[in-house]
Amino acid sequence: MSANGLLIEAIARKDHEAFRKLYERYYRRIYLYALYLLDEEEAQDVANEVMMEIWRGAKRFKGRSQVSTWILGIAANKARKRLRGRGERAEEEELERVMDEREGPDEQSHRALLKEKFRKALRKLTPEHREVLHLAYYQDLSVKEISEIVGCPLNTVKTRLFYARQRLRAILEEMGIGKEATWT
Amino acid sequence: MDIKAKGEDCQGVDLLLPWYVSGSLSEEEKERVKEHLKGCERCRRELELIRKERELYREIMDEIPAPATFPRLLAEIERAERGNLWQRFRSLIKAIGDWPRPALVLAAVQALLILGLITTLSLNPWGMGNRVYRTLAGPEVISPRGPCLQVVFQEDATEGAIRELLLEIGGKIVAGPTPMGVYLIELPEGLDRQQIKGIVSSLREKKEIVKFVEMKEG
Repeated sequence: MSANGLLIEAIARKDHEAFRKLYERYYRRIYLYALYLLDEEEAQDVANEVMMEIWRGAKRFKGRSQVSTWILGIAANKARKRLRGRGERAEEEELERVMDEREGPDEQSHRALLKEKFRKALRKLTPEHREVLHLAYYQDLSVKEISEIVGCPLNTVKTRLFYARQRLRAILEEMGIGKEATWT
Repeated sequence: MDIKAKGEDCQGVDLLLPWYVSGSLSEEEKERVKEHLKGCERCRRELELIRKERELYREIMDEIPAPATFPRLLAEIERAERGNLWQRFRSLIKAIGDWPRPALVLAAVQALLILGLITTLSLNPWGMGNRVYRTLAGPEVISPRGPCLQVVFQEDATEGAIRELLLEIGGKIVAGPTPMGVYLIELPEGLDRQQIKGIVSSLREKKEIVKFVEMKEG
């Protein structure tokens, strides 16, 4: 069993130290994943709820999937439950507010400007596109792991990321950073 | 636009490129992509672009601060577990009802013996004087009046370092550690929210002593 699997086993025996270690490894990942679907406060609530569920339900983990897939799967369910019933527009506005707050006023370098435009382009993607991009680019999950988390076939994951990148590239081009030379 | 039509001419290899970059393909798929890249200039350019996109994305993610909520999370877990105690007691009583008769008699005798022993000792028949147990912090009951912080110290933080830190912020430990290692630290009365936030920030900078710190609300 993997090191993370052993941690989950220890948590099932109510080992507090194991829980603390898992928190340190996963809390940030869960929070950032939820943040791309929700606002900061809700993302924090989701991350806390996921940790609580791990503490209470660790014995339900049977080791059939990766620990990260299991944990992010719980986060995906909780985040989607919160998203349900919220209008797409409200969700976009919230994301815009959250990301605007992160833009420093004195960021003037080329790299900083590039990042700012990239952030703006990301927020124009649909939640599904942002999600698959985040899971592949930041969480480093395989096609199979992503398909388990988002609940769709392997080929859909591949094409969804393809179209997400295509859309992102188109938006960036509209912003004037579509040429490869401007990426460095 | 640089990106080409999905899967066109490349037997789907182009769809695998993001996972080739993150190193999460199977050995077989990795070999397939590697072979294809040797003869496909467009996919090589695409790969380079994905690397840059990914790098930029990760930089942006790394700039986002995650909240430190561990003490609050532990407090919630402890609260939830306390709530379960009554349920556990009820299920224990229910389970006892299913015991065989000899075991029930034995348990009843044991309970009576323990009860008798407690009663006898509380009457103090041997005149041992008043032996009330007191902790070093006693005898007064501690009830914090000032604002409080929930703190988890580093495993290897020394008593001396913690004492120095408490003197620096004028705080005192009023509760803890809980089973999860959380201490409740009371700050001097009269501090406003801004001052408390300043203390929290200064404690967060002392990473070698403090693992987590958060203001206790309410």
